[in-house]
Amino acid sequence: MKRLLPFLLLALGLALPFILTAMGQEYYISFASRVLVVALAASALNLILGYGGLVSFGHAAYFGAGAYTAALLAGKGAGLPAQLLVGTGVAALLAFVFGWAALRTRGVYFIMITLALAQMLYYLAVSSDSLGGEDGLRISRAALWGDLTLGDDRAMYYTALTALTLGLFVIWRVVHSRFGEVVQAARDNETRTAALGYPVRRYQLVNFVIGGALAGLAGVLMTQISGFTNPSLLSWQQSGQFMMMVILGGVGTFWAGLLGTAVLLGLEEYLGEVTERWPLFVGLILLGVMLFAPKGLGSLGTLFGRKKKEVVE
Amino acid sequence: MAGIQSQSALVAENLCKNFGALAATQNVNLRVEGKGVHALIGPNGAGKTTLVNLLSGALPPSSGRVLLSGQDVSRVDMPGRVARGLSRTYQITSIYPEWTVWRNLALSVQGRSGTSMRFWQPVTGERALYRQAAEIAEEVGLTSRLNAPASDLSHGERKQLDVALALASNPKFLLMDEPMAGLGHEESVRMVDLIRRIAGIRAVLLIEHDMDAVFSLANEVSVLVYGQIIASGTPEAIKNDPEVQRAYLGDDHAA
Ligand SMILES: Nc1ncnc2c1ncn2[C@@H]1O[C@H](COP(=O)(O)OP(=O)(O)OP(=O)(O)O)[C@@H](O)[C@H]1O
Ligand SMILES: [Mg+2]
Repeated sequence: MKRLLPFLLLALGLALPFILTAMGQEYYISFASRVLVVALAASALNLILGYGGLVSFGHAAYFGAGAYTAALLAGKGAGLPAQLLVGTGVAALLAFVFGWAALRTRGVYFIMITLALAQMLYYLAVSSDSLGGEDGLRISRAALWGDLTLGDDRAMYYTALTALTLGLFVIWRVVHSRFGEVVQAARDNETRTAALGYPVRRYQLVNFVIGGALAGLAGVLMTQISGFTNPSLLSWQQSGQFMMMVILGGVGTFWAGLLGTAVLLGLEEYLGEVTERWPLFVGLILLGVMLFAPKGLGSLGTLFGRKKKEVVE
Repeated sequence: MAGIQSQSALVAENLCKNFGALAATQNVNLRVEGKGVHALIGPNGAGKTTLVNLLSGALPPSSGRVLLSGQDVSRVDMPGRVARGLSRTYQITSIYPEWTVWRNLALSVQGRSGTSMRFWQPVTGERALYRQAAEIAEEVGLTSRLNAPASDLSHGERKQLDVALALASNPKFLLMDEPMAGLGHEESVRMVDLIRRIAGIRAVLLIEHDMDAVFSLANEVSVLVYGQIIASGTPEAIKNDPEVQRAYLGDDHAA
């Protein structure tokens, strides 16, 4: 079952637009794209926070950096490949600089510095005319081939699905590699990991950059989904939301980003239609999850799985 | 001959460490070299662990130097010193409790077998890592526990794992901070045996309170009291040193 899960999910992902169309709910295809792209950014944070144990409270910076880079490039007429490449690269570079600075500290200082650096970027975006200030930047959707652009819901959806699939594959390989082993070791016991001969900070920085780069990739696609970018993508609320998604999904479990994003955005979407007080209910549900499944929703699955196994044995 | 020896020695030169007003290490000169056990004894709070922290690079000294195979490593961090052949164990065992014993050891073997900046190949595919990890488990007597999560280990087994982790880098110098603390009689016997084997091919600085173990293992003993080395010599000489008896052994025997 565990081995099949990725393929089942991919099959579901591939079929979803058809299912939604058949149900007459085509409106949700665009919503689903958003879930996939935000899930990529959240999964990237899970690499840093869940596997690396670094509480980065400025994840929106890399997401937003990708988004703004893409928007600026789009304004200059650059195509999608250039936007993806440069957007990801800029986010990686930014993560390198911010990570380098933040990793001189630990614990609560690390949280504060990642937050402060991200806020700097936020204020830069708000106050800069060339970045569109409060309004942000509008773009026209990138062309894929022929007349097809990312303005087409299905094209956008499958592009997002491709990005998330590749991103999760990269994360999977990284987490299970030699490198990933050291990163997780540093999370569990930093001192011992250094005493085993691993220059811990270097590993953490590289991991931080990988996470930042993937968030940048997600940011590029986010601009394409919404057709614009604005400072809210860089805000601390956005960073907090990423963190909430990872925690909700189960910090350091592989599907945390996707699960947390699907549930949180799903709740917002659903409750938003039902009541104006939706944030209150989202908060209550989060509270409930934290109280009854403190290891996240993903842990409910393993709990269930383990019980089943015990019965079999 | 003297030149060759200093080439492969761990040396503390006038090491000092202050924690605020507390001088935890005062002008310590120490030399660990060749093969065998150099024991470091001293009452609780004497500064033994602090000295290990200074030697291993976990703490920067307030003044003085640490030399490793003739090089000044005072400003070299812990991983850098491991790369130069120095490794340590922990008084309070320091392991990865959530991981299996096997994975604990594979991680430590990984550190000495090529770069770990490899991002793509699954580590579990590297048979050699796990084979060597199993060999180390065999060496310390943990073979039957390879697949157990480290958190399931008994206190004694954790001590063994702690030592095994330090051994995996195949160090020339091994600092062992009370590897026998809290062990039962049988476990102690096994640990003494293990330390003897370890010290057969490398230099061990052993911190230990059990005097029988110390005197049966060590070929040199240094006594640390209030951060200062008050005596250093052969086990026989130390046993008979009146100052040592007054400051330390006397207390210990009275207790
Ligand atoms: N990081 C630190 N900050 C402040 N004081 C410290 C620190 N580490 C140790 N000390 C103090 O330095 C002194 C020496 O401590 P240390 O742990 O080195 O002693 P020890 O000889 O290892 O004792 P034990 O036999 O109990 O393990 C003690 O008074 C201790 O409280
Ligand atoms: Mg101690």
